[in-house]
Amino acid sequence: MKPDTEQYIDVPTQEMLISMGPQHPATHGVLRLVIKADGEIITWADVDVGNLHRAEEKVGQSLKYPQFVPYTDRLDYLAGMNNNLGYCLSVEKLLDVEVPERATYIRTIVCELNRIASHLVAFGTYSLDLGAWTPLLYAFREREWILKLFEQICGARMTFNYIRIGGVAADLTPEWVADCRRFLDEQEKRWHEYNRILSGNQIFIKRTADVATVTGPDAIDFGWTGPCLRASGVDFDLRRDFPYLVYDKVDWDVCVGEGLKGTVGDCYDRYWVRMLEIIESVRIVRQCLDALPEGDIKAPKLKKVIKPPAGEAYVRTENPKGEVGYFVVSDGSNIPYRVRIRAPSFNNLSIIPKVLPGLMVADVVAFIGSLDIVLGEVDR
Amino acid sequence: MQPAEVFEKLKGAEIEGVLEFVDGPKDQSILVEPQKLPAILEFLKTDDALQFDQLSILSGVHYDDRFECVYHILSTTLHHDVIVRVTLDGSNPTVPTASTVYTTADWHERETFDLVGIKFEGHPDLRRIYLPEGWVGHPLRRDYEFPEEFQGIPLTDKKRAAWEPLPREDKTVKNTEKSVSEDGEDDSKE
Repeated sequence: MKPDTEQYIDVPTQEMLISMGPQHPATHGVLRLVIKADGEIITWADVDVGNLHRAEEKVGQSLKYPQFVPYTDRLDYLAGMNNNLGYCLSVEKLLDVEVPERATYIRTIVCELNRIASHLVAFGTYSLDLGAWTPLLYAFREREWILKLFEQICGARMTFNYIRIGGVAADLTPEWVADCRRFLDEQEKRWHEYNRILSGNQIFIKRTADVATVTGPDAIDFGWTGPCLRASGVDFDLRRDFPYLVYDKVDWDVCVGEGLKGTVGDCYDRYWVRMLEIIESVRIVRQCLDALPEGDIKAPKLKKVIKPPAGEAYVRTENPKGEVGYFVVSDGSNIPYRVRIRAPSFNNLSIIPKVLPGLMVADVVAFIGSLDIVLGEVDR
Repeated sequence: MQPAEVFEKLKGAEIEGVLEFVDGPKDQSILVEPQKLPAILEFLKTDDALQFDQLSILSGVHYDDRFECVYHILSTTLHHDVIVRVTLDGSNPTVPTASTVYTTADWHERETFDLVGIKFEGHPDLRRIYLPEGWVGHPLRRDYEFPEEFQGIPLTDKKRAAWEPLPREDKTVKNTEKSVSEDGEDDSKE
């Protein structure tokens, strides 16, 4: 007897509303997405941020200038040095203080080391999001070395408070420099290990190439900066185009996405630009160590109590995730009148309602992982 | 291109609503009329010699008598930047949305509305982005008072003293200078 299959053909289907997060392991923090899915295809998406809101801007206008530096560590907690730097540069611009050359070189070194550490986390967690466990262990092995280097100079592993207004907190010793050189040599060798284990992996390429492509004009329009923008084929890097620190004195290249395995601006490009930037950062740090001048590490004429003259300043800096800027308004007292923070992850995330519709549900994780967001700076 | 040249270019093209060039001590900016803001931004974005194609940050600042909205825009092709600002009424700050020109402004305006309380006319979806719906007030205003409870949930612990910001007037400079630590940081307790 023939079974009756007719009854299964017209099973009523309907769009499903899925709440992804805030307690989801692949959203890199407390991000919540609201997704409408028709079967496996997403038809509508919205982002709900604010679960980690800690009122950083309110804190900024309630504390004295130097007291706010530790709070900037907590914004992008994977790249605390770069966040310290952005705030200190803005206040120094207001103060009109000249930072000694040695301090500037040290700042460049620690910022680039922090960039390597941040990109290593991006590489490791991205592979973890897509189901590969081993690369994470490789990435954290090298990151541990960087954190130990940081621990030696400032005593902290993630919340550094190392870059201060007018200079840095402590000097580098010759032993530290030698250890750092050993790290750079080792990092260059191990970079090829990452590529052998993940970059050429067919499953990884199938999951990322041609997925969630973002075009250059879209990326610019949505305020994308950093590796995500460059992966979309836009040749723009604040370190080269709005130079600060010593980036105009060292020899390095801007990495732009070329559609290595698929189209320009897909998930694989965003991943690959970060991998290339690790090598560029190694180059920059090595040149800075070679050229490290002797001298002070703090501006000698800086007054003890920091009271910038009234005015406002905004300095763009290139964080591992994109442009970080602190818009500091001073009214002449020892407390900032207003501190406004530009966080790259916040802008990078805002494209989600546009990109997700049309993708498969499984690609959501691939897309968010490729953005490399940190919810600490999205929610501030 | 320097901010002053951008201002001259705007004046030369006879764009309406360009008020004055604000030559601040550090950052120079262009003050424009709020109602003409979208048209001016559109010109800055599309003009071939300017090409300001990205809005970096939109900041709202509350002064005692007025609000200011500051737009930092840059060009990813020509590698220059400029600051545009508007001054708004202190009692009912309203400005046309910039999200029709720069999509970035969408979220930035929601944030500015949430924390500073500036209203953006024509914004597609102006609702709070960080704070929960139903929150009263805008925390970054100068006259904001921290609420004691939110929808029945107490927010202040009565056993502990209420948190208060440091006084803005710095009357303790002499004391702090005595007690700064060696590393140059102001470690004094108030």
